[in-house]
Amino acid sequence: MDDIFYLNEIVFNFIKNIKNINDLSNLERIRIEYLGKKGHMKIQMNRLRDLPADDKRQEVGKHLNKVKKQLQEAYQVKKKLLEKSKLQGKLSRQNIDISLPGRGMKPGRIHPITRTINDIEKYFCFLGFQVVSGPEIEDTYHNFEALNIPSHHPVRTDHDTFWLNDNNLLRTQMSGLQIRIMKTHKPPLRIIASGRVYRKDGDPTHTPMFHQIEGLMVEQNVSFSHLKKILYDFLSVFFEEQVEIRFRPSYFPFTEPSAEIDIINRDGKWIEVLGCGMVHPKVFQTVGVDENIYSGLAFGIGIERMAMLRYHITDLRLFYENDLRFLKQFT
Amino acid sequence: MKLSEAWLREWVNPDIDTETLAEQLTLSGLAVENVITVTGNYCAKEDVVVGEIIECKPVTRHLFTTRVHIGIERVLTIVCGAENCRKGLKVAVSHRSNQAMNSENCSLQDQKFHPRLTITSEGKLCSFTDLGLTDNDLHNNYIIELPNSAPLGMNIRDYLQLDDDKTIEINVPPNRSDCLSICGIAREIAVINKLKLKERIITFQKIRVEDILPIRVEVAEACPRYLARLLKDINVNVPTPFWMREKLRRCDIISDNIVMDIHNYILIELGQPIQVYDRKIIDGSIIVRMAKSDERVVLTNGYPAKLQSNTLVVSDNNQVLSLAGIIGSQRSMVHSKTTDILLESAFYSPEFIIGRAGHYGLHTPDSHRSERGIDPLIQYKAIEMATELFHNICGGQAGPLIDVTNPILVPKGRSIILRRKKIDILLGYHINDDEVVDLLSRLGCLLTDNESGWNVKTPSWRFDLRIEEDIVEEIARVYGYNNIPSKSLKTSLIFNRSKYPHKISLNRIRNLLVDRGYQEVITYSFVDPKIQSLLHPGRRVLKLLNPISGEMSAMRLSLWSSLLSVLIYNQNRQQKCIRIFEIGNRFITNQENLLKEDLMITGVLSGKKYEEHWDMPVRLVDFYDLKGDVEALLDLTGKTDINFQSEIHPALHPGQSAAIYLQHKRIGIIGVINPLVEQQLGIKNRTVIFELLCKRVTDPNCPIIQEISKFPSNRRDIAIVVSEHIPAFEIINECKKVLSNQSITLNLFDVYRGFGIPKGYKSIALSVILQDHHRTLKEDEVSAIISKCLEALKMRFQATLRS
Repeated sequence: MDDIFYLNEIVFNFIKNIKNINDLSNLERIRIEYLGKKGHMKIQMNRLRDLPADDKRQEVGKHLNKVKKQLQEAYQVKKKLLEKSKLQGKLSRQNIDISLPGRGMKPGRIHPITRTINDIEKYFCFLGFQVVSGPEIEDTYHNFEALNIPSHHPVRTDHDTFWLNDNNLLRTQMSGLQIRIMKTHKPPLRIIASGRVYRKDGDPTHTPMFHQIEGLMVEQNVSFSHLKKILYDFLSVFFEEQVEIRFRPSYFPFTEPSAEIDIINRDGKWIEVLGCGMVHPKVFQTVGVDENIYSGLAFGIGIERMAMLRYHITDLRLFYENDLRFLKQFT
Repeated sequence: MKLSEAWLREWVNPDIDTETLAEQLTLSGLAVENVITVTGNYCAKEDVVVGEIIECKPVTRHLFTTRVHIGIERVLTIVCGAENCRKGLKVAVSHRSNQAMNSENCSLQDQKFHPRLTITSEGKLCSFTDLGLTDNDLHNNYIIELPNSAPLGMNIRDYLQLDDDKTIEINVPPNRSDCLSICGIAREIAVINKLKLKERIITFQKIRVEDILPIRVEVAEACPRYLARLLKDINVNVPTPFWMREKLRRCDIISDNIVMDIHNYILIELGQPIQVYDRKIIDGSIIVRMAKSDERVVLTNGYPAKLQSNTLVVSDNNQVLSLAGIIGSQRSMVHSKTTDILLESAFYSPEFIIGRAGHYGLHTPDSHRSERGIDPLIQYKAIEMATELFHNICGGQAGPLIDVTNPILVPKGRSIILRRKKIDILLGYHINDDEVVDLLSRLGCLLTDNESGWNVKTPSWRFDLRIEEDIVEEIARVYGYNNIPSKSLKTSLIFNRSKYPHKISLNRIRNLLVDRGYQEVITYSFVDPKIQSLLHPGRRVLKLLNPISGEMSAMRLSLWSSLLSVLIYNQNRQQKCIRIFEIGNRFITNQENLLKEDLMITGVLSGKKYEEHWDMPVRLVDFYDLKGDVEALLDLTGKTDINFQSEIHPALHPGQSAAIYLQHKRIGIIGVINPLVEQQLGIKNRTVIFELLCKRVTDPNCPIIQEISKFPSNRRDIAIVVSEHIPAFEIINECKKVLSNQSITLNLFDVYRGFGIPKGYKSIALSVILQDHHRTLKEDEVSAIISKCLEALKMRFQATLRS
């Protein structure tokens, strides 16, 4: 039977042939030779038809089909193998230099002043403070008088004011906003406001415009010791470390007691970072808050100073020169 | 205020070093700004010693040869050109004159003044300048006159104790006028260290003449106390004694003449101004009165003042002698021929002085103290001290004290009720009663108990203690702010009720721009009016009355000039790719002087679109680059009703500028900077600018969500040819109008000019994506919709289909 159908030989030759093949077209040629319409297997099938239809024919037929299936499977395995290696070859020619820079543009940066304001506001918002804002053109009432700074007060000389007319000026401090808010909102109050303030200072280490952030809290039973806690905590959060801090008596017409906070800078020197105090009863009287029920704490932080300390900036004027080489560093 | 530590220690001498002393002062509210050595630029080393002129012969009119004994056997021969060079004088001798002297005067004198002289000078007699002790000596031609007691041969540095003293600079807060003197600062130190002041009681006893002057105080409430004394036959031309000069120098005061020096000496030590008048010019009596309106006087600084009637003056029967507590008049000033003087030591009520000096453009050490308040009890001590100093230094005879005091009007300190409860509430910390009483008593307060706490009587020198809170601050201050513990807040939880929780925050806008490559900048709100008028010609500008300079005198009408300046600054520093923005106010005024400020977002784009890149073409930015960013920004609002309309602006390219409308409200402008303006400003590359009103772009739409269709969509492309002048926007709008009842997506994907399109025309290609919510649209339905659309475009714009 085997003699008639040479099956072993076919299988043997087929396996031997495809083993040495390494491209798809030759594999196809082999496939046609063995499994095609006129291929070896077809020939054997045709020969089968010549046999008498008996058990033997049935048995040979089964055997033939089995062999055919074997060949087909071997062919498929080889084909997948060749296809895979072909693709691999193709991909290996598509290697790129992944170290080249990508397309598009680099993002810009938020200005360090804005960034500092954001950091500070975020902290106080956690404490329930609400962000408010107010005008940069102020009148003498809000900027001075209501804050217990009557005309001729020595503090007015310190605040070298930019005047627009007899009554209007560019705000010299954020504190005027306290008055506006307390006149329109009843305590309890926790507000924070930041913005540009202006002072005409001839000193070359100052700029005629700078930024302050002002906080105010008016509630029952807030005290000087609370003020200390809030600001101590704030400073250690802001500078991301336990900074050495001291509280020092100072003078502001709109707070009593008044204090300034110094921290130790990198050179080991104390430098002032903020002013604060308990709201002066005169201010409460002006805005109609009952000082026998409420007490208030207020603080004002110089943004530039905080940013300089945090980012190791030594010249205040850099903030307003807007040199892109400076600004781009605020990643 | 600058003062000498050694002088301060004459008043109170705690057993602590300078550093501790400075820290004590700072922590009690008198911030020490600086502690500096009193050596100045002292440069001579072992060379300068105490010597005595034992022989002094004039060579020429201005030149002497002297023989100087310096405690060694050999006597030096020294040539000296000083006016006050004379026999018997103790001097500072530099005997290797060409070495280690910082002043060139020395060698100049030696060579210039006596070129023909054959005498060799073996040294030099030194002035203060020679020693580097002052840069500003008004008596440059005077050598130092040391006291007779100075030991011969002693090193000057040791003799002057230059290494044992420091100049302490204190920033005295405006409310603490009591600390504007050595005696006041000493009082603070005594309080902190629980010490007593070493007060010297001076009563001048040697009254030799009976001369007085009639004094009339017309405004008693303004001048509760006026003390005066006449001094006769004095010599005002004597040089100031060495010790006084040196003490003043260590308080940073330059010695002038003896009259000024004594004035300054008492001012620094006691804080009381002593006004000195030339007796001879006083006509009749002394009158303290308000100035007559427009009364004229020439002040000691040469300034002719026209007085206001609210100014308190001291005058004689005719003319003003001084502005009370501020400055003297030129006429009454002591001069070299003066022999008789009148000393004034007065207490003026601060409310009659405050602001007056400023009004006349003055700020003197006298006015600084007078307007803040001087201890109303110190005048006696001051005038006695002045009399003694003048008598000892300038000789002459003193008259009796003339005392015009209205005791009822002299402030005697306030009575303030201090509640125990108030201290606890305000400080949040309990300081016990004994300590409170002790602290306040040390400060000079007198306390008596009452049912709620104490009655506190404040000391005469503390003008700043007015209310209960002031007393609480004093308690905390002396107790030590750092000794009060901090305490956590214990309050009910407050929710941060932001009024506009849905608003688009400025930070969201900043982040969007930053992510699109823009750098935030912050610039001054005042700008150069010249640049501004170039950008916004003919606009009314809000000007500062007192600008810092002409280039910073105009409030900005827009952020343009600021941003363009930043652009130029960076362009000149080789930046090729510039994208910047600022959020800040613009300031507007009108005829009625209404002042308005609007928060603006302004951005500038200039130069290359991208940094040079290995795979991207280099190209300059244009209008559409910036427009894309503005559209993205406006997209934050979720509003679609946005419209760009051509608008001419003087600073912008006439064909490449547009006003921006949102819901038919003009919210901003965008455009390419006019090349002419570019040239005038020195901008090198094409620059595009936009501005938006913040308040118009921060209100977002709440998105209402549409159901997504399950049926397939149908895309059709339309290519039409229309006249060049028809804006694409109108074509899109027309399509939207026609297809308003369909669910469509329109996209303009091509604009073409050139081959196949007639001149003056353009081809526009739109894709229309149609989709129905309920079914798949049939082919003929889609075609019908598109035809309808094309028909409308044909009618409206004479559009033709592109073949």
